[in-house]
Amino acid sequence: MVNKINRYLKKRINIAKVSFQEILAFRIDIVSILISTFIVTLLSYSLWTAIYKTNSSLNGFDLKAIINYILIASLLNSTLNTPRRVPLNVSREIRTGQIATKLIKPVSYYELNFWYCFGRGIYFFIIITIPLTIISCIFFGLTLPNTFTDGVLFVLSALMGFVIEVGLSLVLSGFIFKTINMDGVFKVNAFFSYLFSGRLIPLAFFPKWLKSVADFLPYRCTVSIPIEIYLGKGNIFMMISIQCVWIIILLLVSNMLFRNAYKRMEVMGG
Amino acid sequence: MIKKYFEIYFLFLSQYLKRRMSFSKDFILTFFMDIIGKISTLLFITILFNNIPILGGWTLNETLVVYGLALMCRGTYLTFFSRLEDLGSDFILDGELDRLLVRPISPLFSIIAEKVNEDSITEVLIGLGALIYALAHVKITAIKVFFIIFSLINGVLIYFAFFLIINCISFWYNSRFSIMWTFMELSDFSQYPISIFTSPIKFILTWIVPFSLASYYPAVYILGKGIENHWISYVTPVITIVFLLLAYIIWHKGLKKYESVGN
Repeated sequence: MVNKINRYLKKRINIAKVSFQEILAFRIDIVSILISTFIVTLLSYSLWTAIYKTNSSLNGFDLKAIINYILIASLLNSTLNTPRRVPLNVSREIRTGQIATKLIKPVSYYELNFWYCFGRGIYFFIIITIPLTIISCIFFGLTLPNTFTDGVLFVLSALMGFVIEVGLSLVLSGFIFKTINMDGVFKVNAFFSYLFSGRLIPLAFFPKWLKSVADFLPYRCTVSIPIEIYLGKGNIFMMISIQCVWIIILLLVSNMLFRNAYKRMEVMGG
Repeated sequence: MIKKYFEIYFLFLSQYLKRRMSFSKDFILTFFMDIIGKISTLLFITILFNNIPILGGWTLNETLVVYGLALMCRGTYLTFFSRLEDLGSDFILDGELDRLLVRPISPLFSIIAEKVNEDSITEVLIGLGALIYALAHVKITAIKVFFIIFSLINGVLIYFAFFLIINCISFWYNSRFSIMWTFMELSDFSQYPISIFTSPIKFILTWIVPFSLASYYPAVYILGKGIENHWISYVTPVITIVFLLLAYIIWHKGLKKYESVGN
């Protein structure tokens, strides 16, 4: 039994490893990514500093909390960018027909994409997120969470947020099999993710009706909830259970979409 | 002379559009999706002013004037001059500049006329929408309308001069990657009234990366806000001319430095 689980996991972890090694071959312009993230962060840092010149506290955020918020949001975003590429890859593989070689692999195409994200995620965490964390501490004064438990729970919640982002990307990829032109859907999804995840502005600043829309969507699990845990706000148990529910829903739905797609492709295959 | 250039430009443009039209996609849908993708800053400003009445002395409508001007100038620049960003890669490293140098028209003109980036028109439209909405709430005279049009042209010229200088760096330091986009991110600062920022940022955005000359300083005049550095609003055309001259000199120095590729 243990042996079986071991073999099962080894296969999947190997996929992640390969996807990690694959990207090592590309030269990514780390410096330019870091510089542009620095500029974007500097802009929101200066904006919020200006806003808090006349207000000491807004919607339960003081200046220190809001600065931590934008810094953590950009850190989380730098790793969350990886799963966002999956739908683009899938649509490319369908168009070029590369998908055929992926379908005959011993691991399903769904799982291939799922584990691929982890390899890439770890890579981007090492080359972008870690340097960004150092930059945030030196230039913008990122501070640690109040208690050790908050920190541990934040790491857990951020990991779950990553899985949710993977799930969202897989759901989106699942729809690609049904329609051909997805460019518009990608753009709207990217915008929704930017707005409702809390990257644009903390959700507490939203007008009531928009906030209730955000509460119903999974996007806030990726950025807003981990940060709220980091800052020690709100009901931690509640937020983590919401994340768990979304993980289950998204993985089930995406799995179903992919299963349907396989059937359709058999029909078209011929 | 100018008439000849206009004729050539429209010839180039119609050729380009013919090429583009052969890949027709559902244009209207893509267009609306594009707009949605680009209104995030506008949303940020609106949501923010829902929470605070005033930002460093600027109300929502006044901020929208700055935002609208900045977006329109940048959008127009990106629409008509976006081929400049390939100067380092296509024209210098791949040697396409050779082809343009033997033409009887200015090579700079040839580069610009090669492409119209129709995606950026959405940016112009969003900016225009924000500007009109904001100005509907401000008292405005006919002279100021002329001033707005004038400052839009002036703003586009500033973007053009600045990015020509930036891209000319490729004549001396070859690189496939244009650093233009890093500076484009700096232009996001100019979508806000820069008086709210710290003085180093204000200085950089006025004298080194002069994007605020296209948005903040005209807005100060249009709205009649007597804040510091008011005089710059009146001399923006002079600064623009200086930047244009500088760009012209650097471009010609660069052309002299250019030594084709191999064979």
